[in-house]
Amino acid sequence: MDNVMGFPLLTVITFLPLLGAVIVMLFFDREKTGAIKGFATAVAVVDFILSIPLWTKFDTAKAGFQFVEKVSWIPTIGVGYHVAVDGISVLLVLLTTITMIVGVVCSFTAITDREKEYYVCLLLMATGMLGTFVAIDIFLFYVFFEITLVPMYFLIGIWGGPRKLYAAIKFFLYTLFGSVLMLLGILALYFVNLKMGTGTLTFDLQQLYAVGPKIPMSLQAWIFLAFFIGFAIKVPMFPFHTWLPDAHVEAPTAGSVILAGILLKMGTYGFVRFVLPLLPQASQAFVPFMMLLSIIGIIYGALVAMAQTDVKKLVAYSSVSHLGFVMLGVFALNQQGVLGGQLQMINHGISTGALFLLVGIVYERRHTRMISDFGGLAKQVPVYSTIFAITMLSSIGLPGLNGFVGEFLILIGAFKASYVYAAFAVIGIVLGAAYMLWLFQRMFFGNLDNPENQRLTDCNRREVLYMLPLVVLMFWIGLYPRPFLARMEASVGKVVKMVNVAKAEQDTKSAHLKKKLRPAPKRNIF
Amino acid sequence: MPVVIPDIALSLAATEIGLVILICAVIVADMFTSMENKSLMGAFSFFGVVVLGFVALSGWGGGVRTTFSGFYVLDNLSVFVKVVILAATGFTILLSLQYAKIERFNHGEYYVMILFAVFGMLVMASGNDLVSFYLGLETMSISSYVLVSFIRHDPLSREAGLKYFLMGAFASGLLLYGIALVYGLTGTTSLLGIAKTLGGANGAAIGADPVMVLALILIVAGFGFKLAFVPFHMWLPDAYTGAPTSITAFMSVAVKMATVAALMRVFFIAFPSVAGKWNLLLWLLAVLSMVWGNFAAIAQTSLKRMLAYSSIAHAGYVLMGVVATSSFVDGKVVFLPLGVSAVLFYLLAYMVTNLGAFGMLILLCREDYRGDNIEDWRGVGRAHPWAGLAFLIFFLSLAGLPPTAGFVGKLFLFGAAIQNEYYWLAVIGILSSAVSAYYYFRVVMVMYMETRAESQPVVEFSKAPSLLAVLVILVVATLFLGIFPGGFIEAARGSIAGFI
Repeated sequence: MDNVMGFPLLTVITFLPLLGAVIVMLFFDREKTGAIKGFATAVAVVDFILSIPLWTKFDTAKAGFQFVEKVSWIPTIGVGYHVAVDGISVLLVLLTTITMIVGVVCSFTAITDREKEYYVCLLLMATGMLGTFVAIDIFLFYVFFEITLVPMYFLIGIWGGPRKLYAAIKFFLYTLFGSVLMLLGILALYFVNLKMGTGTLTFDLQQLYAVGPKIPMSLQAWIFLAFFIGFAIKVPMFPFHTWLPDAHVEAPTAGSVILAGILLKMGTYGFVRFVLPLLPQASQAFVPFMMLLSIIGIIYGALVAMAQTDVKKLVAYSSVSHLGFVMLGVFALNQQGVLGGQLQMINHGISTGALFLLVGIVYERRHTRMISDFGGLAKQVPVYSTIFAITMLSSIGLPGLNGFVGEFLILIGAFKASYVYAAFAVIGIVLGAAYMLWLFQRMFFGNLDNPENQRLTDCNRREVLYMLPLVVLMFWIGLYPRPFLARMEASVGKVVKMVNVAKAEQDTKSAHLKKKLRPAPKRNIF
Repeated sequence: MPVVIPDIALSLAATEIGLVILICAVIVADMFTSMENKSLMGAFSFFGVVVLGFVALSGWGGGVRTTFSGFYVLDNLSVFVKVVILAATGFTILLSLQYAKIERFNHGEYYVMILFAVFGMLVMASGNDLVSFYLGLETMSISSYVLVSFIRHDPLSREAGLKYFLMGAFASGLLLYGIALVYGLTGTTSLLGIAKTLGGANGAAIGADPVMVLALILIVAGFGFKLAFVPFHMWLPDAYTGAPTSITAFMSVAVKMATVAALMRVFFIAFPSVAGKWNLLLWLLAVLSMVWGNFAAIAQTSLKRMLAYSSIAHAGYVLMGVVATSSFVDGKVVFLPLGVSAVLFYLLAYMVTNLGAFGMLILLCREDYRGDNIEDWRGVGRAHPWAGLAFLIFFLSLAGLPPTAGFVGKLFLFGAAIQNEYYWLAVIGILSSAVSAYYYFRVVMVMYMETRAESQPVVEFSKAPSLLAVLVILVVATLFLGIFPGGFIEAARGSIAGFI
């Protein structure tokens, strides 16, 4: 019992949605949809309010875990209920609680069938996602990581579009394949720790961190591959991305928002939280490979996005491209890169989430997402157009909006790692601007030819209301990113140090071997 | 040779003796019960089994004790196995009460045969000699043949019974021949005696004898047939599909539990010095079973048959745990306890899950309608959310997803494989387990995401309180074992005390 706060804040935040789901399941009449919606919203809002102290009371100077709660769970096999946040996860938790409100509120009119199950699924999703980000015990992490699959499978499969069944099972199996291999990696780590680490059975990340660098490279590479497949499918990195467009296109709006905003981050978060610090040598060794896949993802995603005729599919492929950026930053393995990657995770959650919401708004009215069905919307729906423009620009990375800060940091990081990586990444930025601006031009400018579009109504109050926080965040992060970066810096610094420390040792050793003919090359630890 | 009257401690066989008394009592009581009231026999058997469960449990922690001249052993392993088997029996009887009436086989003999089978299983769990083990096996098998063909008016059930009988008899022959060869080589049938001879002065020569290899192959094949490892599985889909669903459920968990326990005892106790040989064979069977069982299940349209194939795959996972127990250091085998405890925990988890899954089939069974096909479940999750949720939880557990018993069980099995560095076995196993999610979730998809056709009859679930109570207990148990497995893991660990 090692609870700093006294009040189990993280546990309450994590399990409140689950409690809400159970209450909806047990006590709500399926006919009274209004009550269910109201209750789900209340749960999401309360959860967000509860998560505010994570922002205000967070100690930015501390690199380690905060708000720690630690209880023994299955002591015989060394599983503990250990939750905490640090700079790497705290913003993701907040992003999740915000996204949940948006996800619930945006579904009021979009979902008209089996609402009870729908909100139960959404709330279960929330618990799974929050748990994934706060779990410090790797067993606990894996449990939450897997639990998110099931409600998402239902969200896509029941409330999805025409090819929902295919998309749902593809999403489910693809992610499952990755995560079961990751489970083997986790087990390998667990037994390596027993053999050459602390000598105890433990899934606790803080103890496993110590054994990581000691694992021989031959085994570390295999564990890396196991984790890589698990997380790369989730991110998704090229060539494991094919489930993503299907899942996104078929999922209901809230499903897409959650998928893009939070679920994909579980993959990138996994790399930062587990792969880099636990497997430092392997991470170093695989840098060229990871960079290559990231760059292919960036450019390929952007090119495919450009060719899309369906707005939602375009946004989905843009996700592949943006996540490529995040991975590029993370595997630059320096302070700026990882920090940029971290910030870009948040940015992508906000911007792409907002884009999916906007697509959902127009789809609800027109029941089409084909770009060619639109044109000249700017005159017809000015508010919608304005929000869309801001979101699009934030996605492109226009200075003054959030995307710019993240991309800029990632580029610095990549540049420090190698000119080549940065050069290719810049191509991706240009392409990103191209497909987004072209999309905007085709949808909003020109003549309002289609008579269907002339009856289009602008955003209503509810829609503006749930878009507003996202737009505010775009400007906030874009204009004054300091509070966000400050929360992440210390923890990111620690990760970067951990991933580079093994290499630094290696370098000093080899420098010694060279009998100090030349001074050891200075490494970028920061 | 002078005749020595062995010192027989009957108290060690209290469970078995009690069971025989119960069987006799049921047979006698059955004669005085009218046809309409045969369910009373079920209730009677159930309470008897519950009492026996506690009797069996009282043997826990007493160390390794043998009786009947070493033919019979009572250790924690046998206690664990017996308690789980008796629990499975209790659930099976409750599942049967209503179902037997619906399928019109509500005879007292049904419960008697179940109890006879259980008697065989208990003997197997304690068999410390190839002969006592074989006796138990045959008692169990012959009772199972009868049970499989118990729906006499259904040709499928009769066919299943015949197939199972023919294959089972053949398997028994193989096994017996293997046992005979072992006896010929070592001069004893006692498990400890065999180990002693094989580990003794001439042990290396005997171990290298091709006849020994043949004997091992025959024994492995015999077990392979009984546990339906690929390629010895051909009888299983037919037998499982044709048998009464309650018996399918019973066989898939209880028969498996007893046979696996016997398999571990025979191989770990009697043949450690030739572990390299049988371990390779079992490795192969495990891989084939996991892969083929899971891939063949995909093609099924009958839910019952799909679960039958999935049980082949699950037998493969269990065998993986058995294989992963052996660790070879410089050609010498070391048995690591994690494998055995993983196998035991997994069988426990599988017991609650698979009984539940088959119980769901029984729930949908009516006089004019069987819910055996996947199609029959179309749209059920929508109209009956609670039943859908229960089935979903069982499927999650079968697929090995948290937070269910199946997940913790698989974690253990794969943990054992990883610990002893059977990496390829683990990778093949876990990928095939991901494949299994496809067919389990195909049923979930049919239940929740497709709408029931107009032509399909309206879903009407059984309202038998015994059945509902069992299903509720099994759902809760599946979740409980998944979320708070600590105590049961301890029990599975404690079972190894004095075993390896």
